[in-house]
Amino acid sequence: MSLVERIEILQGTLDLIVLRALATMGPQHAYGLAARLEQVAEHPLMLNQGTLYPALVRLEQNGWIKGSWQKTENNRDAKYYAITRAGTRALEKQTDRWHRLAGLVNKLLVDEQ
Amino acid sequence: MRRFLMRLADICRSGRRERELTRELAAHLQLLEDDFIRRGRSVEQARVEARRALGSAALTSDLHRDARSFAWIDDAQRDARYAIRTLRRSPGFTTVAVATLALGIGASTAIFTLIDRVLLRSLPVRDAGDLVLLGDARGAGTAVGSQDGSFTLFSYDLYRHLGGVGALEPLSAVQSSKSRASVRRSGTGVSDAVWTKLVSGNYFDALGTRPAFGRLLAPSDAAAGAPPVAVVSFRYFKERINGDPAAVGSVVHVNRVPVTIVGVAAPEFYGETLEADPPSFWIPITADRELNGAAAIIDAPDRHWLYLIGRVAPNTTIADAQARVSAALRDWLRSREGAVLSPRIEAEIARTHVDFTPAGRGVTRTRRMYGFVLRLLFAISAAVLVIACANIASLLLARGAARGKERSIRLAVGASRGRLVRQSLAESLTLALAGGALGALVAPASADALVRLVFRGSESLPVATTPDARVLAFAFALSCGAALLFGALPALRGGADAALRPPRLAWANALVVGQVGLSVVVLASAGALTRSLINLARQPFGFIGDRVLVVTIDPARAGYDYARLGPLYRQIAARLTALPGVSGAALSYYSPFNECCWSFTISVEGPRGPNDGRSAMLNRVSPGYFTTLGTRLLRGRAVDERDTPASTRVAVVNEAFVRRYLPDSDPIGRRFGIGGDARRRDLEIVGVVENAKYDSPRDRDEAMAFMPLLQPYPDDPDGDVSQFARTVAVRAAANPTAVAASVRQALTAIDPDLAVLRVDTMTADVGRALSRENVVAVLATSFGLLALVVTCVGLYGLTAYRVERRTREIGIRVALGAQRATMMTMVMRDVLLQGALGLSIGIPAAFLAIRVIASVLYGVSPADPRDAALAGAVLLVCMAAAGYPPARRASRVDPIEALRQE
Repeated sequence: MSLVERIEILQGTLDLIVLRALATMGPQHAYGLAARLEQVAEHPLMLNQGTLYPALVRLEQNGWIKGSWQKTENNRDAKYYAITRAGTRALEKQTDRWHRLAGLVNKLLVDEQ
Repeated sequence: MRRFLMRLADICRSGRRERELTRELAAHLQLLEDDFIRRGRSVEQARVEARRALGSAALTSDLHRDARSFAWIDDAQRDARYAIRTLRRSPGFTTVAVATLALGIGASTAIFTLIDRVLLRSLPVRDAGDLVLLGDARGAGTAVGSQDGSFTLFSYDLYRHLGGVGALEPLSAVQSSKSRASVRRSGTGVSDAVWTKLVSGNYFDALGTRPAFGRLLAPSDAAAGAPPVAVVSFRYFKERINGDPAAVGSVVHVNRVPVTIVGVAAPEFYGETLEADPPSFWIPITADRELNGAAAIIDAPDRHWLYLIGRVAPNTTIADAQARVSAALRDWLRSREGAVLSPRIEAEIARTHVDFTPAGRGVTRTRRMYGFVLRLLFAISAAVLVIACANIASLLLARGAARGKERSIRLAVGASRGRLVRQSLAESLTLALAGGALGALVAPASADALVRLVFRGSESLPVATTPDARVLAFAFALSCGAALLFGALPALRGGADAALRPPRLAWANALVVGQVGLSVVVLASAGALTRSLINLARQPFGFIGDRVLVVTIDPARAGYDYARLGPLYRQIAARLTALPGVSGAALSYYSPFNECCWSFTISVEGPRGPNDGRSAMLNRVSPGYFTTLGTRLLRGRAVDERDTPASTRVAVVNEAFVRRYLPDSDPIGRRFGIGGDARRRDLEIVGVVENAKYDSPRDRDEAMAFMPLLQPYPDDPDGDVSQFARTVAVRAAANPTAVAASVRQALTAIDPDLAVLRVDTMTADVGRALSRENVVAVLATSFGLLALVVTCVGLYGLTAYRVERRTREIGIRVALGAQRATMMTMVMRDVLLQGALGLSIGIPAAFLAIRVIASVLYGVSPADPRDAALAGAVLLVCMAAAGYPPARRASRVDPIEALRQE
C-alpha cells in the first residue's frame, strides 16, 4: 500500500478522528494520538505517524485545537494538543455530517446490491 | 477564511514554525523510542523502528508546510533568497546591473511623471472633460483684425455678444496672457510683483472649482460699479500672507487701486492654463478700467485679448453650438464694418468662424511646446533602458554558460527544468526590482530637476513631481517588464540547455549587436539635437545682447497718462545713460524674448501686392533703441527725437518687411498702415534695420515694423496702449548685472510709484528662450553617453568571458606555434565584427530617427551623415577600447599555465 493511498483513505476523516480522540481522551501529544489511532484501527502500521502533522496544523489554524509544550509522565518534552470550545462545536457538526453522509453512502451501497 | 489568514500570516514566521516542527518531531521520535524500549527492543533497534514508524522527516515537514502555508509563496520566497545569495556572490555584475537599471528606470519614470502631469492630467476642476475652449489658443496677447479666419482671441464686447447666443452655458472669459501687477498690502510699504489675470464674473463657476477660504468671484463682481475684488491663489495665500484666513476680507493695493481679497482658490487650482508661474490674483474683468487706467482695453471692441471657455448648454451638440457661435461672430463682424461692405470684406467675414477645442486638460502652450519633446525624451530613455536590459541579458547568458556544470548537476539530482527557469527568473526579477526601487527613489528628484531646467527662472510651477500611485505603478510595471526583457532569454536557454554540451553564445552576440545598433541611434539623435542647439545659440540674432540689461516697468499702472509719457521717457533715457558704466538706454513696448509680441494686419500703399493683408509684428521704440540693442540700421534713419505726437507718423521696418511687402522699390518714403485698405497711407517708412529674433530663436525672419513710442496711431488719436513702454533696455559698458542696482535706484528716484517689475539680462532672456532646446540636448547627450558606457561594459564583460573560456584553446594554439599577435587579432576581429554588424543596423536606423525628430531640429538636415557617422566612429573606438584588455589577455596566455588548468 503506497503512502499516497493511505493518506487518501484518511483525508477528511482524519480531522474528525483527531478531534474525537482529543474530546474523549483529553489533551494528547502527536505520538499519543498516533498510538490511539493504531489502537482503534486495529492495524499497527496503518498510519505513517508523520502524516498526522498536516491535520494538526489544519485544526490548529482553524482554532479547533490548541497546542502547548508540557512534560510527559516520563519527563519528556512534548507538545500537547487540547480541543477548544470552537473545536467541540465543530466536532458536533462534523459528526452530524459524517453520520448523514455515512447513512447516505450506506443506503446507496445497500440499494445497489 | 480564518485559516486563509493564518496561512498568509504564516508566510512571515515560517522560520519559527519550521523550528517548532523540528522540535515536535524530535519529541515524537523520543516517545516512540521510549515505547519500543519498553516493549523490549534494544536502544539501537528502538531508534531504527521509531524512525520507520514516523516516516520521512523531510516529507512530513513538506506536508506540514503545504498545510500550514501556500507552497508557491514559500517556493517564491526560497527562490528570492537563493537569487539574493547568488547575486551577492558576484557583486561586480550585480552592481553594474542594478545601477544601469536604476538609471534607465529612474530616467524613464522621471520623464513619465512629467508626461503624466503635463500631457495627461485633466484640470483639477469638476467634469473637466466637458470644458470647451473657443478657438485653439494658438496665440495669446492682443490681436486686432481678422485672426486668419479662425477666431481664438475675443474682445470684451464680442464676448458679451457671443454669451448672448446661449449655445454655451455658462460662457466665461479670461485674459489670454497674464499681467504683472504690483501689489502692496495695507500697512506695509513694500510692493510685490505678482501675476494677475482678469476674468469674467462666472469664470470660477464655468470651470467648476471651490474656494479654500472665503468665496470665489460671482457675476455681480463684474457688474458696472462693483467695488474691485480679487481671489488669490492658494500659493500666494500660503507664501505671501502666511496662510492667515483672516486675510480674507482685507484690502490690498493692486497698482495703487484698493482691492478686497474675497477668497482663496483651492490648493490644486492653477487656472485654465498649465504654465510656469500661474496667476496669483484673479480679478473681475471690469476692474481693467480702474487697474490699467489709460491702458485699459476692455472698452475697445476691436482689441481681442480674451480666451472664452465654457460648457456646451444642455440639449445642444458641439457642432450645433459651434455653428451658432460662428454665425453670431459673423453678425458681430458685419456690425463692426458699418452699413456698406466691400465684397472683399464680405468674403473675408464669410469665411470667419470659431473652432471649439476640448479644454479638459487646460489651455496650454506648454503642452504644445513640450509634448513632442517629452515624448522624444521618453523614447530616448526607454531606448537606454532597452540597451541596459540587452546588456544584462547578454551578461546573464554568459554567466549562465559559465554555470553550465552546476546546472547539469542540479538537473541530474532531480531538479525540474521548470524549477531552474523559475529560479533564473527570480534572479532577474530581484535585480529588476532592486534597480526599479532605486530608480523610483531618484525619479522625483530628477523630475524636479528637469522641471527646473525646463522652466528656468520661474518661481513656481503647477507641476507636482511628488510620486503618486500612478507613477509608482509605472515604475513597478517597468521593472517587471525589464525583468522579463532581460531575464526570459537567459532563463529559457538555461532551462533548455542540454546538460553537457557547452552552450554557444550566439544569443549573447546578437544582443551586443542590437545594443550597438540602438546606441548609434541614441548617440546620433543626441548629436543632431546638440548641433541644432549650437545652431540656434550661435545664429545671428539681430541684436547683441550680452551687455544689455532688460528692466520691466509699467507706467500705465503707475498712473501716467499719454501727455506725461514723453517727459517720463526722456527722463528715464537721460538719467540711465548718465549712470557710470552705462553707455545707453532706450525704451520699447517689448524687447527680444521678453513680453513679445504684437501682430497686426498690414496694408501697403500702391498696387495690392500678394502679401497685403498678411500680418506683421509691430513694436514701439524710443530714440536710441536700435543702438542700445545693437541692431544695425541698414538704410535711412532710426526713430529719434524728431518723432513727436505732432510730427509725421513714421515707422522703421526690417529687411523681411521690405522683402515681403515692398520687394522691388526703394522702401524709404513708402507708406503702409495697420488694418484694411483705408489705412494704407498712415505711416511713412523712414529707415530699414536688420532682421532680429523676438518671439523664438527658431523664428524665420518675421516682417516687423517699429513705430515711435510717442506717436499715437492715426485712427486712435487719443493714444494707444502700446505707447506705454514695458521694457527699458540698458547697455552697460561691461557686465550688465553690475549696474542693475544703480538702474533700479535711478528709476525709483524718477518716480517711486514706477514699480520695477523685473530686472534681468538679455542674455538670460535668450537663454530662457533656448531652455527647451538646451534641456533636450543635454539630456539626449547624457542618455547617449550612458548608452555608450553600458554597451561597452557589456561588450567588455562578454569578451572577457569568451577569452577566459578559450584560454585552453589559445594555450594549445600558442604551444603549436601561433603568433601572439594573431591571438589578439582573433579576439579584436570578433569585437569589431560585432561593432560593424551593429553599425550596419544602427546607421540606417539613426537616419530614420533623425528624420522623425526633424521638427525639433534647427539647421540640421535629416540627410546630413555627420551625426550618424560620428556616432558610429565614437562607438567603434569605444568598442575597440572595451575589447582591448581581454584581447591583450588572450595574447599573453602562457601555454603551460593554460594547459595545466582543469
